[in-house]
Amino acid sequence: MVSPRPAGSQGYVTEAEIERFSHLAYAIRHRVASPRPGNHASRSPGPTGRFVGLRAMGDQADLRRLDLRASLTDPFGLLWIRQHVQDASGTVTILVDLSGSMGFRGSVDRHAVAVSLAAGLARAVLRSGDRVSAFAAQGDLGASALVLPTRRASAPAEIASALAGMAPEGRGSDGLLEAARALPARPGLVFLISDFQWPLREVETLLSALAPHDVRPIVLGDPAADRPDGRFGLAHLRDLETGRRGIALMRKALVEAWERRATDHRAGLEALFARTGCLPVFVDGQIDPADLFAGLMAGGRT
Amino acid sequence: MIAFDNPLWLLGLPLAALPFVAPVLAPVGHPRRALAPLDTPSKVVSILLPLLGAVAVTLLLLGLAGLHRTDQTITREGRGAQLMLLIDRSSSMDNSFAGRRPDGAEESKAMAARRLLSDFVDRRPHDRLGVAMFSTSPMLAVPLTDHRTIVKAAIATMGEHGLAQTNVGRGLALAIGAFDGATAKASRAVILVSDGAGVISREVQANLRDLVGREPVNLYWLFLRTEGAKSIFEVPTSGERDTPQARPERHLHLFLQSLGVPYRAFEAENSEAVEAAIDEIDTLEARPILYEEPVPRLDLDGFLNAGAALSILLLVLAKLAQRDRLTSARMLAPIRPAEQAR
Repeated sequence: MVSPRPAGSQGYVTEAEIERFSHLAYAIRHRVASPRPGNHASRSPGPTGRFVGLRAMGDQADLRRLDLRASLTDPFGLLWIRQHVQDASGTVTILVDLSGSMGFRGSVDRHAVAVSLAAGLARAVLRSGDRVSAFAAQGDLGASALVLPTRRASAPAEIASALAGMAPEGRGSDGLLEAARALPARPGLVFLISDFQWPLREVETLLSALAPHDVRPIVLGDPAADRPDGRFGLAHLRDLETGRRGIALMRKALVEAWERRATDHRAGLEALFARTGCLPVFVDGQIDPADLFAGLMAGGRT
Repeated sequence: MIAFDNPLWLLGLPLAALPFVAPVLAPVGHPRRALAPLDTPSKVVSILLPLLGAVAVTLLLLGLAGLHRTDQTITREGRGAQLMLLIDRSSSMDNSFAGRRPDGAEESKAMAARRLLSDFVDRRPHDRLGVAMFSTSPMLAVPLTDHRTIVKAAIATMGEHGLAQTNVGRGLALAIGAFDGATAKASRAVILVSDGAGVISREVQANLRDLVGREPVNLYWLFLRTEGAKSIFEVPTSGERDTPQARPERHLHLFLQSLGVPYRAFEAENSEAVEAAIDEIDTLEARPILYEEPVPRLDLDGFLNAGAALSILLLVLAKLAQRDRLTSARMLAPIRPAEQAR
């Protein structure tokens, strides 16, 4: 499944660059369930955290949480123990699309952007105390697990090198669909890194497969593809997924027609995300970690 | 006919498919062509450009193979005939029509005949002409041919001095025998130009009848009559001897009439009369004739190379207009550097 990339293209992202993502904040909408303290609202009882009620003292009561006032005012003299649910850590899944179109090289190398984003998000997830797992899918060639849920500090680097070693190949979203169906049934946060260059129907199928989860689509756009400059010339276009070729006589009128289509597709995506309750983050061209931070907070574009 | 000098080059013709496999323009990856459809001009260019490459390769290979049209002869129909000019080269032809040595004012019969025959040849572009000459013994100067120059050169030799005698019988035999049987369809004629005649022996007469029987020809006798000489049409008066020896011209005329082929005799006492006679022959011998026109070999590699050069020029222009990327800006690092962060 993993096709090697020619040597020399390794190391898309450095440790320092990964580190720039470490302060990204995100929230998981579902209540996580984990005995391990973390940053997300949970249903797991713990010594501190959100107060959920009182319980009559039993065998395993923590006497340090004895509620004096409730115990004193109790007409039957029962001792009451305060109950809390503590913020717990969750599991965050990073799904990376590596279909052919992710190999686009316009104003940025889209593959490199995906690698940096996946590694950076993994670092941010670890820094938040959550577990990270990552899957990559090469179009219809199938999905492969890069990292299973882990808190290893080396996970971001592992993800980066594994992703850098895979060439963007294949067409469509079947691989991602396969990865989505293989995710654990327990709801979790899923970062879906893709350019979403599929028909909207296909995107919708993928999103419904991911419906149990809190999906944050990270849409990689590129002004070079959406709004190429209208300079006159001949561009021999090759579709990165279907391989269909054609020579475009580049000029203003043609480029404007293309831009309209790209805008329509983007609008369709936004409508679809709104309908399915996903908060997308749009990354057009370079990643700016600060913008990404804001985007993750607001669910908007960078 | 189309032929090649080095047909081995044609083995390279499958290379013409190369532009369809290896495109001229370097491909630019596009994430989703469905969002970037081609408009009509682009589609035309998409089809035309590889085609142009294929054309360039094909033309170059055809040029290298030495495509040419072979030399050939085209059969055309014109008006004319196959004519043998049978010219008397006896010394009497050097005299003028008055029977004297020509001085400055007069032309000799040979010179007049030469001039007028030369014009005649010029007037009839589609004729096949041959020239035979005779004095004592006949000589086939030029077999039937399309080459005007050589015919006129043969006629021009009439400027030289003639020889002694007039052996018209063997001359006729040679001229009639000069027609090849293959071109029997065309009108064939022997034009005998002479100023006298000789006795034709019985054997030669029999030979001539035999020849004419096998290959019918039209006969014209242009008799350049010297002033005072007896006409060929003149019936001798009762006292005169009417023998071939006494009146060889009259008896040749009678013999030719008896051959059973179309025959006409013209008598000319001066160059105007010769001209009139030749004009008449001109009109009489203007029947449709199939003549063959040689067409020289035509090398086509010039055109081919020009076509290939034009195609290649267009391809070079297309290559110059090639865009390697969709944007003119240089490619950026995936992450915006910290110092540039907004």
